[in-house]
Amino acid sequence: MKDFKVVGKKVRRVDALGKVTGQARYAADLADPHMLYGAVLRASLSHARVVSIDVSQAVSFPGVEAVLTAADVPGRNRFGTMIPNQRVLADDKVRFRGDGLAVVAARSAREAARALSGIRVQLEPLSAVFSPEEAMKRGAPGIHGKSNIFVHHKVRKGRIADGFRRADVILRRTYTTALIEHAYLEPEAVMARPDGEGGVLVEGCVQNMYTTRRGLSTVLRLPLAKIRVVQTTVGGSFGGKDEVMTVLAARAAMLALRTGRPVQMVNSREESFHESYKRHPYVMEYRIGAKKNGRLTALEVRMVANAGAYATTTPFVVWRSVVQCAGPYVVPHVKADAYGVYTNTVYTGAMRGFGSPQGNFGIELLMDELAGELGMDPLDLRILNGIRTGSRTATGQKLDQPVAFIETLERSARSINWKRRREELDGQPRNARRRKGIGMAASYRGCALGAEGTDAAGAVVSVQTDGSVIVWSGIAEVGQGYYTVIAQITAEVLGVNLADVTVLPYDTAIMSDSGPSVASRSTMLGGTATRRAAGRVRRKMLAEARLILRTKAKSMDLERGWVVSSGGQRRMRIRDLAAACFERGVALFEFGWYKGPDIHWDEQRGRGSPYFTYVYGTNMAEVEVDQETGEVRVLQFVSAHDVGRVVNPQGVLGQIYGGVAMGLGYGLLEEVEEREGRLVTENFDEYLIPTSLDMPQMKAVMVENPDRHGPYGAKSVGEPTTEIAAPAVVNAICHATGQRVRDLPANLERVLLGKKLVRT
Amino acid sequence: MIRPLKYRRMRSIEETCSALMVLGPSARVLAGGTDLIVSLRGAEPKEDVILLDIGTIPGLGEIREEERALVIGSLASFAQIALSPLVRQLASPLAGAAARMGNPQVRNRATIGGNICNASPCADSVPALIALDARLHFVSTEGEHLLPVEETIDGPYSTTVPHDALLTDIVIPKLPAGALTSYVRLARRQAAAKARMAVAVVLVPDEKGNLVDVRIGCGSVTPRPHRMRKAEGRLLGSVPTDERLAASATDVAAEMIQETGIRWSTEYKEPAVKALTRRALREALGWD
Repeated sequence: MKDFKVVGKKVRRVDALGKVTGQARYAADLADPHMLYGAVLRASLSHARVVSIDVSQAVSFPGVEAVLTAADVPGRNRFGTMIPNQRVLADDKVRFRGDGLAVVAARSAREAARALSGIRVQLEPLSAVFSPEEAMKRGAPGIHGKSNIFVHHKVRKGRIADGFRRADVILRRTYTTALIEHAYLEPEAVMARPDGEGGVLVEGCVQNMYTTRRGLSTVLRLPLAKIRVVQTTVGGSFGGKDEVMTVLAARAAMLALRTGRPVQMVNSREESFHESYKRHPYVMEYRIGAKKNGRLTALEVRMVANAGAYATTTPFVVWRSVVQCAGPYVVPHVKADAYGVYTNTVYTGAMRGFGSPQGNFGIELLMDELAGELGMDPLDLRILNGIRTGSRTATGQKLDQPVAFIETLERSARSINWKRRREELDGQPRNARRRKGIGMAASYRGCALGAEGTDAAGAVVSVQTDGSVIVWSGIAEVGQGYYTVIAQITAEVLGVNLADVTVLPYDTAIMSDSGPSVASRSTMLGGTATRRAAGRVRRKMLAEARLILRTKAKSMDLERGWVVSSGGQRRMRIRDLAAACFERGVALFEFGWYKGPDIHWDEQRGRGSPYFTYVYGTNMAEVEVDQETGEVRVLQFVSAHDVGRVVNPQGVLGQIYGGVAMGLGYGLLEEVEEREGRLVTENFDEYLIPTSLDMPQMKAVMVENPDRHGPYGAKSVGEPTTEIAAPAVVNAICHATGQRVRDLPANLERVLLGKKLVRT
Repeated sequence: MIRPLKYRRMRSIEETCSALMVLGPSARVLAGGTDLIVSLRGAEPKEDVILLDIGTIPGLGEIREEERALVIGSLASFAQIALSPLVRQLASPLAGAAARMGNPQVRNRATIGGNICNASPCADSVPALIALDARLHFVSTEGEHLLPVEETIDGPYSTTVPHDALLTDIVIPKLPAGALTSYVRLARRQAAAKARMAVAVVLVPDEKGNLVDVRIGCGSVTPRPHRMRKAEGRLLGSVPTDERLAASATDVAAEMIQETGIRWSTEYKEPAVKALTRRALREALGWD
């Protein structure tokens, strides 16, 4: 393979300068001389019938231009992907306290906020249900229909009874995870402008433009072509700026179309906490069987996800959890069932990991407990059972692509000196005030959407007459570094400098629907589409160059701004070639499209090949636990990931460091506390995420294992980096203390007392 | 959204006191604003709030050494206190508390006067000031008063300070030669976190090693911050041993429960405060 010029090289993010200098424009920075400010009146009850909403007083408040309720929704007040039951504004019922009842547009933010007090709402309280266990019971108050169980996915492999019959050791364990917030720095913000022709332009920190556009089309009863969604700089998303942004955009668009003026809506941090969806808390029950030598024989899993008030992406989240429930291990007999359940709490949806952080927490703690039961080193147990090329997963899929799982285990172990360190630490006095421990966790993860939906994306590459290049993509930059990746790929293909490539913001008016910017699919799908578009431009350029240079040589190349012959001789500058193409009437503007390989999933039988390829990872953590106070310091951390091919090493490092930080927050600190559906945690004074001082010494190990489907072999890195930090650190805590923690977060109280203390 | 506010910049202590007197409870003293501004966010106010900004009153932020005391102006920021060689030398537990409060941005703005007068149970300076037997110098329209911290804060977010009084100085008596001090703090994370609990200790041994003065101040332990006299008494007049330290720590936990009753958090706080107290005592003695 030829040497890469840009791919695989350390480069500065293409959007770094704007962000670090404060020049990047966020949606809240947008302004218009005629703009109005939107405000939302939210529900004061968790479950209630809406009897009446009277806005007659509010409309005459000073500065008010419009007050709208569900009755004013022009189209259908239901949106969502699988089960469209989310409302822009509550109509029949209030289902959680974040539900909006009415929106106001006024000439100032203050006037808009004041007018909310003039809205008279009559609610008839209904009995509410807050825990999935209660909500699943017969006779529990139904939140949407009769039953609150709206998702059930399963996996079946072999015969579970046979598997347990062959087991020498059987363990039953229950693990739980917490409700957590994405904690993006930028709260939700949007500006909607009427286009004067009945359509609307929406600018905002939207993660999934086409999803939001579809929602708006339903709600506003407008054709997709009349709705244009343009992305502003996104100040973090992590899966979190999907449905909540559709709600915000729809409200702003309704107000804009009603008043004929631009309307801006910006959530405060408290509003963001109350209204935005969170990561699903899970209750996971396991039964695992193994031979004395550690070989796994059977795994039975039951997972219950608290979906909160609306369906949103829960069917997909729960599906990924169940598909990956056995972790990166070969288990001959598997029976797994996962449920999504409505409750009257804040709704839950996509968050970095998308159903994997929960399942990985469960299976990885279980593997450590099993190792303890068998008297085995947790690393040996994982190596013994770990998947390899040709192994069959829990869903029966044969892994025919090279599997680098064992390599991630071994390289992490080498990096932290696992065996020796574990022995050394075992030698510490049991009752020492501070005791260190070392722990690990591992995962495999299906790349991209898999059987969730069609996986395809597009990109346009356009070379200007001076040789500079514009790229548009159907996939968004949400902080993951994607624009830098596609700029690198474009520069690589076209033989130009990275600085010559500009990636323009995501705009639904320009690009064909490329699906959502989720599932760590950006580089694989969008990167390949970009490579194809750039490849088409390149072929055109080389064809013209041959004509201009009067040569038939096949081996001409584009390199470092030049057209070069096979001997490396510089023949013509690329910028002159671009100008010549224009003069000769040749457009250097090409569209690339990439559809991922077909996959297969049999929902009835609970088996199939749900993803076309996978990534593999291992995390190892060393901690010090204060056995008198429960304080945990993470001392060192190794994060090894098979990423396929590294496109931007700085980007991969950023993903790993950030992923570990998020995962440690999940493991040690984070929990959105609710009491009877009322959020107690509503800002960063109480909701604690790790600071830089909480971060350990981190070692990133990038395992290159090129995949035939990704551009230059690149796969995924965004989500895998965060999904196993929590179990690694909790396993390390357990190693230090000799006590098991089975619930998240492993905070001071849990580590010291082994249980959560509930504030009364 | 911040409520609509009236704002006045104060030029002197006297002007502030008379403004407080005239305006009554609607007037609030603004120093660093790290607590006050946050509390002003949210719902519409019931009455007008008038902020009296004392930030520009000259001389209020000075730290100086007097013959028998260290005097810290109420406007001294936590950053200033944490870095002050005088505070480090003469009131080490306070320097320790200041250095670990909040984060650099908060430490740059927040003032010690604000920290005391806001009277949060987890106020970082308070346990140190209690152990240091600090006196608070107030000026009001009626004159000047010097009050111990213990008599100033009478409960969570509550003080005995008359409305027209302004805290101008914190007076910390110099410790006798050979005094040993420590400050330990427990929080959920390493920065920008409220202290879950804190313990400050001052021990004065005589030449034989008998403790002739013992002072223990705790944060987030009792509703009204005060010296833990029973625990102190356990150590007073004798040479400290590990058993005595443990007994003293148990006394602190008992005093906490006596005052707060059994709360949701007691199951955790009881063993934790014992551990912290013992640790603070050991640290002061140089045993750890």
